[in-house]
Amino acid sequence: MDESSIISEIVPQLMRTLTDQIRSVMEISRWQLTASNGANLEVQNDDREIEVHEFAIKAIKSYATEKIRLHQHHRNLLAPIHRLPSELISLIFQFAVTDSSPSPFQADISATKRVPLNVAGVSKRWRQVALDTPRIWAKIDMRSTSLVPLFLERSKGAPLDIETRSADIMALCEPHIGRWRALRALIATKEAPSWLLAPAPKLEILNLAHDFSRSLTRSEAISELFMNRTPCLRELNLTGLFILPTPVLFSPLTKLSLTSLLYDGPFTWSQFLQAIQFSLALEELRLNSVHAGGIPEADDAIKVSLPCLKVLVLNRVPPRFLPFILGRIIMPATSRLEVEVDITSGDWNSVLPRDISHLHNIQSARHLLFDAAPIATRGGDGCSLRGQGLGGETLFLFVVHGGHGGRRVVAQNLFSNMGQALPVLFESISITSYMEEKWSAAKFANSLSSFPSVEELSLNSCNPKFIRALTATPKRPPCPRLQRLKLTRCAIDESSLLSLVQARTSMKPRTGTRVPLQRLEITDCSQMNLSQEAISEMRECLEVHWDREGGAGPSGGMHDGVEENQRDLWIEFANQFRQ
Amino acid sequence: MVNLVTSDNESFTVEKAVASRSVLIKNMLEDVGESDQPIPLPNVTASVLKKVLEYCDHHKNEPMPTSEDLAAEDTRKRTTDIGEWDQKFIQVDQEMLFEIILAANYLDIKPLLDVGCKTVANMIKGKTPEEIRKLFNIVNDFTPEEEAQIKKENEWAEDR
Repeated sequence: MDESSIISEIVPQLMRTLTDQIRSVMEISRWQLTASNGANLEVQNDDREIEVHEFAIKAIKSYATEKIRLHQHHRNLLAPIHRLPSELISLIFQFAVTDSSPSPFQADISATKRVPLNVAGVSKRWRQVALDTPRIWAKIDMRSTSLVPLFLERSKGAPLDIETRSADIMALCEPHIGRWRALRALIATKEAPSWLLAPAPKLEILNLAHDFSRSLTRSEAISELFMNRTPCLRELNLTGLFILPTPVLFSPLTKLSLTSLLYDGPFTWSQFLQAIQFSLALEELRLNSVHAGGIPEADDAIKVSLPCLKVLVLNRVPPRFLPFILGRIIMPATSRLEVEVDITSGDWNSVLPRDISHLHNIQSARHLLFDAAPIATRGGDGCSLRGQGLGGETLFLFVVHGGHGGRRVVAQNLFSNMGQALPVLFESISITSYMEEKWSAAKFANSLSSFPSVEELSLNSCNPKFIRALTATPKRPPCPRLQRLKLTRCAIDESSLLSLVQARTSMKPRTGTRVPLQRLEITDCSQMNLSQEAISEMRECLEVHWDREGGAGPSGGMHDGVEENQRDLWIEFANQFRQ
Repeated sequence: MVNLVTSDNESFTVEKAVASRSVLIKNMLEDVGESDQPIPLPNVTASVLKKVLEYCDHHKNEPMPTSEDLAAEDTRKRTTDIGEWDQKFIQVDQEMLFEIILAANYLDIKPLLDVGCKTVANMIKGKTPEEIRKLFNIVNDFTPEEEAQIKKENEWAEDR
C-alpha cells in the first residue's frame, strides 16, 4: 500500500468512524438543525461538519503527539548517557560551566553554545536537571542584560560569580550582594558605585579595574571597600583604583595584587607595610607599577614576616623604593621573588637592601644564572639574574632594564658587583651572552672570585676573553673551587684552552680552598677547532667531553645541516651584539 | 591481597592498596577485618572493573582526598583539567565511559568519578543543544510550549 492509497482509502474510513463517534458523543442539542427561525439548514449542516472534522483532526494530532512523546522518552532512556543518575549529570554540568564561558573582555561565543543554556535545551530530563542545579546559573558573565534576571532567579541562593564591565548588569546584581562570591568588574564612572559602599559578607574574590580614561584623583579615592565588611575576602586584585590599605582589609587575604596605582599625598610605603603586616596567610603579593609618594624612612625598624608567602612580584616599582620594601619583608626559604626594574646605574643598591639575611629564599639558592642579554630586555642594556634551589626551582628572578642607549653598562656593572650584593654560597653559576668586547675581563674575573663556593661554571655564548680570564692567578683565582667547566656555543683558540686547563688543573689545594679542575665539557661549539693532540694532552690532566669527538673529527667540519644552521644563528646573534 | 567478584562472576585478586582506592571497599575491609572472603561487587562487570583497577593501580601511591579537600572543592571553582595519563586512560567509547563513571560512583572513587565527569563536561562545552543530542544519541522531546520558552531564552542570550 502506498502513500496515495492511504490518503484515498484508509483515511476516509478512519475519518468516517471517528466523525460518527464525535457526532454521537457531542451534545445533540448544540447541533439540532432548526428551520423555524428561517435559518438556512444547508449552511448549518456545513458548519457542523466543519466543526466535527476540525475536532477529529485535533484529536488525531493530540493522540499522535502523545505517542511520539512516549517513544521519544523511551528512546532517550535507551541512550547510554541516560544510565547516569541525575546527580551525576548535575555534576557534569557543574564541571562544564566552570570554564566554558569566555571572558566578557574577549570575543564572545554564542551564549546558546554555553552551559547552562545549551544543556537546558537538549531534552526534558536535561532541562530539569539543569533547573535543579542552581550553581550552574550562578555565573553572571554574559553580555546580555535580558538574561541576567533569569540567571539570578534560577541560581536561587547559590553564591554568585560576577564578571562584567556593564553598569546595567551590576545594577541588576546589586540587590543580590549578600551572595556575591567573586566579582570581576570595571568601574567606568568617576564616583564610586553604590554597590562598593555596602557590605559583601560572602565575597571571596575581588578583581576591580578602573577605566583609565576617567581616572580618579586621590580626593575621589575610596577609603573603604564594601564598608570594610568583607570577612571572607581572600583574593584582592585592584588596577588603577586608589584604596587606602588597611589591616582590616588586608589581614585575611591569601592573594593581593595592586596594579597601576599612584599613591600620592600622605601615603607612604611604611603605611603599606603596616597594612600587610597582619596578613599572615598571604601567599601571593604582586605590585605592578605602584608608586607611592614621600621618601623611604631610613630608620624605620618595621619588619614584616609573611610566613605563608610563596610569590612576591615587584614589577616596575621605582628603584629608590625597592631596597626599602625588600629590606622589610621577611621571605620564607621556599618562596619566589620576581623583580622587574628600570635602572640606569647598574648598582645593586637600587634593587636590593645591603643586608639580605632576612630574604631566606635568596639565601637558600644554590644555582645562579646570569643572562647578559635576556629576551625581556629586547636587545637593550639590561640583564636577568635567576637563583635556583637544589631541585632547580626558581627562588628569585631579577629582570633589569637599563635602557636602549647602546652603552650597555648596566649589565656589566651588575655582574661586576654581584658577589657583594649576593653573598650566597652558590654551587654553580651559569653565564649567558657575556660577549661585549669592551667589557673588562678583569672585572669579570674579580666578580667570579667573590663566589668561592662555586664548583661548576657554565659559559654559554660568551666572548673568549672571558673564558681566558678563568686562567688562575696565584693570588686570587676566580672560582677557586671550580671542578667542572662547561662551554656551550663558545669559541676559544686551542692554545688558550690548553693554558687554561694547565693552570686550573695544576692548582695546588690549599687546605680545601683551592681545588683543581676535574672536568671540561665542550658542547655545540662549532667554531672551536681542537686537535687530537690537544685533547689527549688535556685528558692527561682532567676528564674531557667534546660533543664533536667521534663525529666529523676534531679538526672541524659540520656534522649536518642542523649544526650548520645553529652555527649561522650563533654568528648572526654574536654579530648583532658586537655592533 | 583482596579478592573481588564482579556481577558476571569473575574474580580479581588485587593488592589491598589498589582496592582501597575505593572508599566502599576500604570501609568494607575495615569493617570485616582480616578475611579471605571475596568481596562481591554486584554493580560492576568484569570489563569495567578491569579498567577501574587499572586506574587504581596507577594512582595507588597518591594521597587519598581528605574530607577537607572534598568540602573545599564544593565551595571552590571546579576545573576541567585532566592529567596526561588520565586523559589517555579515559579515551574509551561512550558506553565504557558511562560505565566507568557509574562504577566510580558506586565504588566511591572520587578522583576517577571526577575524571569521567570532566571528560563528559569537555564534550559538552561549546556545543549547541542539537550537537549535544547528536553526540549522545538523545532526541528532542520538548513540548511546543517548552520549545517556545527555550527559543525566548535563546533570543535573550543574543541581546546586547
